[in-house]
Amino acid sequence: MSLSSRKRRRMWMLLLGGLGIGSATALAMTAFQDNLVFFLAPSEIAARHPGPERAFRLGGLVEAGSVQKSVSPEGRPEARFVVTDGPAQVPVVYVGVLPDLFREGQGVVTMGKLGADGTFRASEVLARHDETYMPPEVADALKRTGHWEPEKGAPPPAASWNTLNPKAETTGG
Amino acid sequence: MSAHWYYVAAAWGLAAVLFLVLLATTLRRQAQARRRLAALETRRPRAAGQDQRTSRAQEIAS
Amino acid sequence: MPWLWGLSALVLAVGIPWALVASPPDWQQGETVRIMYVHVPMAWLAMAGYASLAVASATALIWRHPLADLFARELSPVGAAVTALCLATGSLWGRPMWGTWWVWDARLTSVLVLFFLWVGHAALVRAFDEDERGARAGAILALIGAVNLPVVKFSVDFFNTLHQPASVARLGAPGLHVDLLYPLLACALGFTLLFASLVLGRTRAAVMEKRIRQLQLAQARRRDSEAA
Repeated sequence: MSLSSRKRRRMWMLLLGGLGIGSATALAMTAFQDNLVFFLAPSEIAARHPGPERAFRLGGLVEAGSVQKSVSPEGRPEARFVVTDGPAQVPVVYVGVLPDLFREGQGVVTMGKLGADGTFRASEVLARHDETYMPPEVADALKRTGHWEPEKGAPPPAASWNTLNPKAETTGG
Repeated sequence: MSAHWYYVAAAWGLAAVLFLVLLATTLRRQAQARRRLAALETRRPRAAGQDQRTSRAQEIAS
Repeated sequence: MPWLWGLSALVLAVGIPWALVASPPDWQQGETVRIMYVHVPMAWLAMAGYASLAVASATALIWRHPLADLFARELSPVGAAVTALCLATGSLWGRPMWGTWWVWDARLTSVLVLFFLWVGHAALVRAFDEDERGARAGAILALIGAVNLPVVKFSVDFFNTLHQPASVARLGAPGLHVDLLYPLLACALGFTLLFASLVLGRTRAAVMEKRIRQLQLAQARRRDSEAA
């Protein structure tokens, strides 16, 4: 099938136009990546030093064993916990109701300001769950067999549990 | 966590309303078009039989 | 064509009860995970739908096939609707699980852009006196906006986002246990068939409407020449 020269010209223009817009967008995204940052990890705070009055978002995992709940002087719920990304940790204090999914080992994105003492004073705490979904029985089976401690972080790789049938194990055993 | 069923119901309720509206408008539009087309094609004089043999694709292309 | 409607009804009749009742809850999200079974198919349709809009637009511009223009014109209102539903169900899911209705992270923002592109296309093709000019303008907009598709897809990998990364469309095993993955795939298939039925049904109506206009024009001309 031979294409008329007009059709071929249109295809070329479309292709070139597409390449042009695509590369412009890719360039813009790469250039803006630092500025479009939604949250900083604990390791990145040292590099970016946000000033004491600069509100920003801090994201990471809630460190196991770090959560302390109390009541603020005004009678509202207060929580202290540590946000970690592995290499670095930041202590956080928050007055208010935490989201339902907040727990040790869960991801968290919190908005606030870094105090001079290095404590992050949060005005908002959001739970950031991961991309894994499983029935309660499967989660229990992984915990029971020691493959996973949720308060330490994410479950093992999905291939190892996404077809797991805990009932079959107990009846077959 | 049990209070969250409102959110689930609202989400699925919205979906149901949306798709029912899309479904109803699409079926009604099709029925209307079919009716008007049938009326027009029976009203055309039989003497102009040549028109009826033209392929639909040809007419769409014009 | 009626078989397409029937098939979508069948698949949804299996998929929706499976999703809402027969499947297990999530270990941490509980019953709230059932929003996923409508939110994720809508997201996939928003993106796949836009990809077909881009293909139809390229076809219209290169080969000038009039059916491509009609298809694109009927596609964008439905595409806009499913994208809006994706955003709304996403907010209804985010409020209880994340603790917020909305954040301006890369995923949510790029899907909002996708919604504006859908609406923009639908409005643009209807804004002209001549359908052909509107179709051409819409086709160009659709192709320019296609750069947003990889942005949406890779936003969760390229940027720090509140929205979690992909669970299904990724290299490696899906992060969904099969007891939740299978009902999701069933709902996705059902909603896709329904989407296709709606768009093809609208396109068919549009083809008939075009023929009606042609017949009316031909009849008017015949009457004028007979009267003369």
